[in-house]
Amino acid sequence: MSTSGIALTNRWARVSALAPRGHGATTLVLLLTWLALVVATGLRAPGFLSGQTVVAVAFNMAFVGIMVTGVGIVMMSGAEFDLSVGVTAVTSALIVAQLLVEGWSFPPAMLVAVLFGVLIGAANAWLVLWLGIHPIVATLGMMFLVSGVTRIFVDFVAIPRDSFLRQQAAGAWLGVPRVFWVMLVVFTIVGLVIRSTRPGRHLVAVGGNAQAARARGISPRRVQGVAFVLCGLCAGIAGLVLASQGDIVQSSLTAGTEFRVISILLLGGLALTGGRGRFSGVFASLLLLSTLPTAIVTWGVSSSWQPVIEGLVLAVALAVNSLREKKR
Amino acid sequence: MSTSRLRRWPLKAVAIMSLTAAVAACGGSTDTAEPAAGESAADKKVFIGFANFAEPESPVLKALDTGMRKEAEKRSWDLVVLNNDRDGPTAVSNAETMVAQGVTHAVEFQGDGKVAPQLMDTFNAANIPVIAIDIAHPGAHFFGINNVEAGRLSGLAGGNHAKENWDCKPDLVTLLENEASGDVALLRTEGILKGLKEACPDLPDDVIQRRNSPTTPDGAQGVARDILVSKPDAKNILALGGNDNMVIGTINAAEQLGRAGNVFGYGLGADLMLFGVDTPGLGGSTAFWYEGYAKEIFKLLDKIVAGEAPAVVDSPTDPNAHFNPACQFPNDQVKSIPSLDQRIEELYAGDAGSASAAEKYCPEGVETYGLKG
Repeated sequence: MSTSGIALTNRWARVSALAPRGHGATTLVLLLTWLALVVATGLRAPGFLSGQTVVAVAFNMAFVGIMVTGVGIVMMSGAEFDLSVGVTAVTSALIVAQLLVEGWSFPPAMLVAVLFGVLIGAANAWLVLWLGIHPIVATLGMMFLVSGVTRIFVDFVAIPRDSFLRQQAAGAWLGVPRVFWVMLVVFTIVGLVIRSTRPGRHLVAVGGNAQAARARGISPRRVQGVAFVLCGLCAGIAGLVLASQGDIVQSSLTAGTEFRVISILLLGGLALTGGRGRFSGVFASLLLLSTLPTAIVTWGVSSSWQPVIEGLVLAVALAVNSLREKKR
Repeated sequence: MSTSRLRRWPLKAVAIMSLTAAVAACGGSTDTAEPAAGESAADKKVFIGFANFAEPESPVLKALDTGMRKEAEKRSWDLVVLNNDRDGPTAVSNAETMVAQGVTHAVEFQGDGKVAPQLMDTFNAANIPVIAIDIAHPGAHFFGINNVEAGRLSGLAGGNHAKENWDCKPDLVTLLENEASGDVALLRTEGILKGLKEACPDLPDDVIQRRNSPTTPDGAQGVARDILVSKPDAKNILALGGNDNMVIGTINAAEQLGRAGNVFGYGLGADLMLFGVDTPGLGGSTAFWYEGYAKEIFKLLDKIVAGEAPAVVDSPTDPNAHFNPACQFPNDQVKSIPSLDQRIEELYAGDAGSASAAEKYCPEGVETYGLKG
């Protein structure tokens, strides 16, 4: 190799060393893609770069983001998915709404709704970890059970406008809806606990290699059980957020919500097999996929093409992610 | 061998019991016994099979369920009520159950268009006339909403508001529709546009933002927020859509963005507005009067049973089909009509007469569809 060739290789090696690797790279790529989307849309329609867009995207992120956090914990623990998270959230929303209609004050109504989520999480843990049913089968069954039972009792509930829930959640802090801050707090706590605390490291260890974790004295069943319960807790909180956003809560969930949750987690770099990934990547993924629909409408793309574009962006991003994983 | 038999017997018993239980469960409640065997076709007692859309937990399905039972009771007709459980295959299986039980007439309410031909084959083979509610079934009398006309009433109400308040120059018209609902969504949108243009013929097309939306309130909110963000300068906003959820979702989205001041919405169905959902900015909704469905269905059944059956019109786009009368219903008049339970009581009381729900409850001076005079 010539001297100039060696110099070039060394320079490239130095540049490469500066580039983030692994999950940091996932986050960076997603954030850069998001930035490119925002800049391009802003250039086309300057009105896009406004507080209105921030509010719209914040609302897009809040409800789904809390569910993403819950399912992310389950995924990280190696227990795959919780497909019942959406209907659990909807039912929690119906519970809090119904109790408010019946004259309950907000704190006990909130507690009952969140406890319902915890109960469903515990039931999922029991089905998966004690009865040995596959997580997808167990949580899918739970999804049908909760949604079926809910529909027997209630179709929709109108939420009183003067209730504490509507009054408080309707406001904003620093120009951003309060529901977004709720999501951000939940997200940050979970991300920090997983990354920096002993229970978090246990979760990652069990998700990465359950046998090795067991050899170190960690109980995978206990860790994964807690993961399901926390996912239920997140679903309960998501239900409160959902109930605060409009005049009605209905017993049916928007079609494809569970698919969206899982897409965000996979795009954010969480491994399907558990134990790998960072919540910073998941947040970047949530940000990107929550901004995309707003940008698409601003670009004037017709409704028929919207799911095609969203699907395409997701497929390309997942393919790139998968290739990177294989390389590693 | 004996062990094997011993094992098999309990299995058989369980299977028989399960089958019996399944048939009973599918059958919902059988109010009266099926007609006695040996009766001739001519003097065979009328036995109606009614498969409801789902468990009657929602006000709409509950009203239909109650109405069907009361009307059958008035005529001393036998009735069996089944639950299609929002599921096509369940509807097919329920059709088979109805035929097996010997119903003479069937009223079918199920939303899976793909199984409609299979279901109709079952009834046709048994020579049972069918009335299909809201979703077309080939060869069955269609009964339901005239989606184009209902949409027109909402579009007209919205257009009139735009004419009176904004000189037919709204900054934005949001028009949400659920493409997955197929023809129903397209027909409603067609009607809304027709009514809107009737009031404001020169309304430019680029003011109208027509977008696909989920039918859920939170889903509609998301779509509406995105539309509003794409039109940051729009102040006078007219919110229309394929159902009340979409319109209320749009108003809620405008509130979230701090732009609810000049939003006027007009819903479709009134299934939320008439059940207590009070959203500021919702001017009204076209009322479908689901609680009156049973009354109109039995008027048609009376004709069929009397041998005066009108020609079968199975298409919801055919103006000769059987439609439930509908009308515009302003939000500020919701408190002036009785509650749903009272309306059902009044409509199906023994001395109720033949007036439809729309005739009884539509306010004076509003636009209507399907009302005589």
